[in-house]
Amino acid sequence: MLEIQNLSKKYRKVLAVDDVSFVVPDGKVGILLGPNGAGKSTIIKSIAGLLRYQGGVGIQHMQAKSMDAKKIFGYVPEIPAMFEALTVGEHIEYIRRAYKSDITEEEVQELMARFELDDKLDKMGNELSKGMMQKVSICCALAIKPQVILFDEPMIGLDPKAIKELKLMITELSNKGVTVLISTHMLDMVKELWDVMFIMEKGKILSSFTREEAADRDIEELFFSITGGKTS
Amino acid sequence: MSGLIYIYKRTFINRLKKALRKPVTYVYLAFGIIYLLMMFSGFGTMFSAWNLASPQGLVTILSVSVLFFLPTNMITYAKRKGLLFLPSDVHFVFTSPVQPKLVLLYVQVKQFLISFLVSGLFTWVGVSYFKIAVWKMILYFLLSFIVENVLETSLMIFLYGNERFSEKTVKAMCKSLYLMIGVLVLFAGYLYFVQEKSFTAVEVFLNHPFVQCVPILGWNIAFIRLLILEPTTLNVICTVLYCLSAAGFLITVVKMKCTGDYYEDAMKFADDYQEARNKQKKGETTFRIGRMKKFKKASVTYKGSYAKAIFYRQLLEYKKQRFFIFGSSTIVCLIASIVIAYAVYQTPDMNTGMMKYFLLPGAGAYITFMFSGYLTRWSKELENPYTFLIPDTPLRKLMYSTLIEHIRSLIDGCVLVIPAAVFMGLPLLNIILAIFLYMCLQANKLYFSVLSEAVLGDVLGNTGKTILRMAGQMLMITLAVIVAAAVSIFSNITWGFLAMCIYALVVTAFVAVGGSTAFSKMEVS
Repeated sequence: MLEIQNLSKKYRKVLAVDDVSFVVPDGKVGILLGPNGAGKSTIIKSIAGLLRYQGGVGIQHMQAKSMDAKKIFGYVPEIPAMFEALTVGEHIEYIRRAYKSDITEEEVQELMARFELDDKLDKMGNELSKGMMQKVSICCALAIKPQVILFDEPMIGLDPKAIKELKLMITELSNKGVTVLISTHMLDMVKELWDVMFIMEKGKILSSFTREEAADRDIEELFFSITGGKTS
Repeated sequence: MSGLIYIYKRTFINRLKKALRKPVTYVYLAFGIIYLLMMFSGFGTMFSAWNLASPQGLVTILSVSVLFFLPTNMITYAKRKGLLFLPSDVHFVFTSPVQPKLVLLYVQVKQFLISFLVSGLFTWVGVSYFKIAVWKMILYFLLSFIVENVLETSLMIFLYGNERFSEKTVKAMCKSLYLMIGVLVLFAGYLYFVQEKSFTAVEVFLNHPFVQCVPILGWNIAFIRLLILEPTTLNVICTVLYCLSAAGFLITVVKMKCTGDYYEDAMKFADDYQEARNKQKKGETTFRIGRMKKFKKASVTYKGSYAKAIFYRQLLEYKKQRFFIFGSSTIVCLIASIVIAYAVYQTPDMNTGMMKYFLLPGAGAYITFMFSGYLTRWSKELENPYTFLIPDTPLRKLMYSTLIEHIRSLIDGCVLVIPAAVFMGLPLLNIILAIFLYMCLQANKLYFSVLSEAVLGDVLGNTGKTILRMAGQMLMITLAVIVAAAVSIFSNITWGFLAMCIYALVVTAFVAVGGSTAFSKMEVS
């Protein structure tokens, strides 16, 4: 479970996130929607422990900044950054050691094959394209075998096959009881994935829905009815 | 922790393997070894000439380095900017289950290695050039490496990782450090002007009880004096205080709570540093990392189309700059001009014969050569796809991309030549020719840069391109001097001067035409 309680974040005098609270239950996929500058990435970075903030963030009932919480937490940032002198395979090995992950060699092979990285294991970090870096970043987060995982705009830069695979992977994670939070403004990409939706604007959560509450309403229609824009 | 060790180990092995596969590594290595040998062979003469070849001399050098580096390091740590985290560290290390204090140590390890090498070097230099007993220098190596690193690392963790200090407190700490430096500078000035108007003022300053009593900074100097010179009551007391402060800070940081609040600042600095590094790779200089550049409001009327538009766009960009087209090179030229005028005033012999006419061109050539690593706005044009899409010839694109640089060098040339030339009483024709020659040299430098981009592209790194550029310029300047000397001998100095200008212009034109291929397709750059 991922719990956000009264989260506020200021950058000097600018209030980027204003007293935000929400919960993504175990095994559910939450999506954080909002236009550019809504505060989605700030929330994601705060959960990942990269920012100072006011309020609380809980991962499986533990403080997000505690070592125990970090051990079961995966993060895919919007802009991946690789170790220039480490190969793709060595990135995975680093994750295995840093998190004491029990992922087996076979599982790594399978993961790599699903994202078409099995022939790129010896490529250095500085030899990868942006799309490939994103795939490695996703694989590294999955190699942790996390119980809670965050994706910040995960589809950007991915090819159609990888997008399809990622969507499938998220559904599988959810079925295994993993809590997933995706921040995006690409509504089409998360249409079939979500269980709970949070719509943000100007640092606040304007509205939240579960899939049951939304019934048959389209995600775009829901989003624009809240944010005041027009559907295409 | 094993993850962090793994990163270090693999990074080192992979980088080493990659470097060994590149032939250029061996060239750089050979240059490095030759450079070091030359440096070490000159050390003895240099230290003797500066009256430093004694234990006191080494103490002076070490103390000055402490005075310079320790406060600046502390200030950057307090601002959480001293450690160079990479975006990959932010992505993979900050979010991993590693204690934030260990993450600080992970980056500081590089510093330990440098410190180990520097301490080792000083130990060897101390024995070889400063006539210090081997056992003393070994003791210095062991103790200074341990105590100084324990103290500096503890202070670094304390300043970075402390989550109790508010932003105001940190600012106050920085201000007090600046104040301390200010007081020390004033004291040094007082000693220099009032007591000892010579280089020995430095020794008097470092020997002064007031300086050695300054917490941490002065105690460190006393610690060095005790190890290398001889014990005195003052340096023993200050050394004890120094060691106690190292132990005290160590205990404090071990007990201190740190949840990683500094990650936010470190992440911002990592991004800013990466941006500055990328700019540096392209030859741009960033003086203040992380500071958003402010632009003025400006407008420009485009009086031409196609490649000419590049010139007007650059003009608009310069108009938005705080100092328009004037940059650091203008200041350098002005200072050089004043220095030359002063030198001529002090030594009237400099204003006679050939020297009178070639002093300013020589200074211009020196400035051009020394600042040859600095690229200007034109180089950005090669990264812009629109430059290549403009329907015009590569030569015209090159011409208009670099036109504003010629205007800049005209202004810089005037600033360099006119004040000194008027003082020296040079004829008008020689003044004009000196300015023109400076422009030619600058243009030559610029087009050699373009040519090295066009010829080398990604084959060699920036260092390789700089070497090619400098070699080309050096050859051109040497030949220009030969041409000028030859013509001067057979006719007169003014004709020699003119011949040099014509030669420089012709060579520049050839280099420009050769370099214009860089503007034909983006792939080259």
